[in-house]
Amino acid sequence: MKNILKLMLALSVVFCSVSCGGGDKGPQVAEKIVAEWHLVSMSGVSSVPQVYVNFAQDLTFELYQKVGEGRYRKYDGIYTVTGNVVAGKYSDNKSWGSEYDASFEGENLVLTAKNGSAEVCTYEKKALSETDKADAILVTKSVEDGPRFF
Amino acid sequence: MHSISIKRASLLLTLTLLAASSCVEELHDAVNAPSVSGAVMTKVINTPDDSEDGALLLCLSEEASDAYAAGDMSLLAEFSEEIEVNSLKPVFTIAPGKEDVARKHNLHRWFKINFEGMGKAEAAAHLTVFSDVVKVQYNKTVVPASDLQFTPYTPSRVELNSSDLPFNDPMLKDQWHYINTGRNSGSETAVEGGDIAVKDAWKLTGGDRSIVVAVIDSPVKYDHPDLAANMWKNSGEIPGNGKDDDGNGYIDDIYGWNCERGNGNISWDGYKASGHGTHVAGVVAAVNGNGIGVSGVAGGTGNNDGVRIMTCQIFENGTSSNLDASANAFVYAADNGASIAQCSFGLIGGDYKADAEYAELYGAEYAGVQYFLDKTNNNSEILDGNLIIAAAGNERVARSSYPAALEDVISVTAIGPDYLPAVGYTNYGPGCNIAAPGGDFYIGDITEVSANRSRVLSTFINTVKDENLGTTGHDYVYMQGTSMACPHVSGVAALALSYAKKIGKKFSREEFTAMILTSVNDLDDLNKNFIDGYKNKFYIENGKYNYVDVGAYRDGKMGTGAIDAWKLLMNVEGTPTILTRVLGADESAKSYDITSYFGGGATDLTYLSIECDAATRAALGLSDEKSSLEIKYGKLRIKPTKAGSGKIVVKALAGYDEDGTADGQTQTGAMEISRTISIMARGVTSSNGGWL
Repeated sequence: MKNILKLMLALSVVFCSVSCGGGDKGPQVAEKIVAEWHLVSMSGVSSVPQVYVNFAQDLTFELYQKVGEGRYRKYDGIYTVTGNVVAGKYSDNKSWGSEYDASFEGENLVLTAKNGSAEVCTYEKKALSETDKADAILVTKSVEDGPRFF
Repeated sequence: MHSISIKRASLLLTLTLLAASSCVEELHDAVNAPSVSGAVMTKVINTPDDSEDGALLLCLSEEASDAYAAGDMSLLAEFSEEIEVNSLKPVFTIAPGKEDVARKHNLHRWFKINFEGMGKAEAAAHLTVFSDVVKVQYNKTVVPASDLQFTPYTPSRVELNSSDLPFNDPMLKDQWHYINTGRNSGSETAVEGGDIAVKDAWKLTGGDRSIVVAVIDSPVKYDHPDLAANMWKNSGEIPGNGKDDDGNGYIDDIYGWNCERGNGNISWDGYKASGHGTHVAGVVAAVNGNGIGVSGVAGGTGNNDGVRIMTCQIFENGTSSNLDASANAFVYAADNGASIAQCSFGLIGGDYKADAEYAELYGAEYAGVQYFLDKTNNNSEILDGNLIIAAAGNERVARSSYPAALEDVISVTAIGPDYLPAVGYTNYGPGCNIAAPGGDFYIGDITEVSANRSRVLSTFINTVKDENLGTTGHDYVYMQGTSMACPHVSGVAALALSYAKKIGKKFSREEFTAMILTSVNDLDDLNKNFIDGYKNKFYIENGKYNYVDVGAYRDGKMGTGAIDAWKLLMNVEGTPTILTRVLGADESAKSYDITSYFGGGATDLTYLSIECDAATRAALGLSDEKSSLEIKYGKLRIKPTKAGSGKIVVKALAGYDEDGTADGQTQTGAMEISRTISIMARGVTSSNGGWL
């Protein structure tokens, strides 16, 4: 029985590798992307805003961003990994602005937009402080008018 | 020194005119007729109706003012030859060290003359002939912006969870204007969230002792158990010793100044005394978390950390006052540490239609206002100038009253627990800048006690008699009016100053004012009736609810929207950058929401201009074409062609403006505000502003 299960697992890995069309990238992206990431660079600009994104194992994400002044704004939702392509939706049912090709450079995550802009954002593994998370404003609609403390 | 012969000739002319008129009002009209008496007659700058008897305000020449200050009483002697003068005194007290700024605003030139034996118009005619008398002003009556009716507090049956009540003040549950559950105002049409959104703001701050709000009003009962701990107290003054211990120019001023009597005796024992000022003060800063009574917007967190209230008493009997008292109040407040002047009083709404008209006709009060606003008199650690927040008035007319309508003053209109205009009384239209809860008795079933709960609940003077019940002893009552709306904005402003201090932020007064006026919710956000143009009102005639047309109150006539304390504190922290997408040459400009900068009413505002410097244009790849950067339908339309970031300055009108010029000098107008918007252009944007 154990041998049959091992065989099925091995076949599923092979099947997944082939069907994802990305060699061994698919499983690697899906596994390696599960972490908290901090934006460190973006193509075309010299300085970047404070952006943290936490891709969870259960295919949910939490995004904390501070673009300009004020406290962090929190977005959340779900994401998918198909091969090396990452896509997602916010919890207000709005799609991400683009799908992304995901790759890794050392320990860093590189997301390249697939919307034609070829914008490249590089993230390091780093978590936002719990204090900043707790103080963040949850954005549930297109305007920031959601629950103020949660 | 003074040319008697010229005066005599002019006086003869004037008295001839007087003889031809048996009516002082007619005389007034006549003396203002330039064809009769020329420049001499035009010295009388306003009308005698609704003004103090036996008194006039005079603006003297520089020379005469200086001579008086030097002890030369010759002018008084000359006046006494013409009229029976009881006294001639400066309107304003010039504090030591403030001589220059006082002189800048001509405070030193304003005098009050008290006389007897003749009517005020006749006296005015006599005085105009003196060459050293530059202006003669009737000492007009100002009134509280409330009907002064009150109803003693009776607890509702509504119970809120302790988690919904930040403080242990037992009446907070019935202060729907702070926390509107939709059930705690006695109104069937109340809406949940129809409040000033202060509950969450209190988690960030409850106030700061360094912030002083001058309540220019009837007396604040400084020993009220729910106010005493938050009263400003002049620590440099020894009570009752008859000396100006701290050398500020005022004797025995402990809690403020009685501007009507001209002494430090803050008194609420007079005939028809009113609890109006005490009610207003409670909204600003009743002590929070003390386990008794009500809460105040900036009343602290129960740790002796509320803002402080200075009482500047201008209503001795509660029902009216005169311009010299209110003029004095601004000066006292400026000279003694107030950074906000809370003004729930004014002239009759609609009577004056331009700032210039008010400034000319009410020169003494205008001088006091300008003195308070002069940035050299700034009392704030956070701003570079003081703020005046005033009630729009209760005459139900389409124009703010003055001084609220002045372009530099924030004018507050009133809404009820239904988050809709209090159509039974609030003024609206030109000069009105922002709305806040003032209560609306008429939307409840006014045959029921519960309807009273649609008014605003706050502190009161327990010696004031309820004429209906014949009772006294009421420390807490319901009242309504733009008088009650106004202190909500003053309290929120004080709260925001407290928070700015806490997090180390500073602003110009103009920046902060723009932040107040854009930290709002659109009035139709919560109650769709505003969109439909009607609201429910109870008619006692038929005992039913009927619809009332509120369409006239739309299009910014109530101001930019309803004040939101939380949004203002978030604006104090800083406003996020607007993320935009880099566009190709063949793409059209995209629209972006700017409510985070201009508030919930952003789409209804009138926008005047966008300023974008060359560096920002280059950074974002913006062309010079108008279509690459404009405000359209209340949204930012922009066509960046490269990734980058920059800032633009957008100017808008806060409130309704008849000709869109914001030129209050020629007609009462809106306040011009500007916000600096940060923009970042990148390859990806989502419609909700999320980074991914």
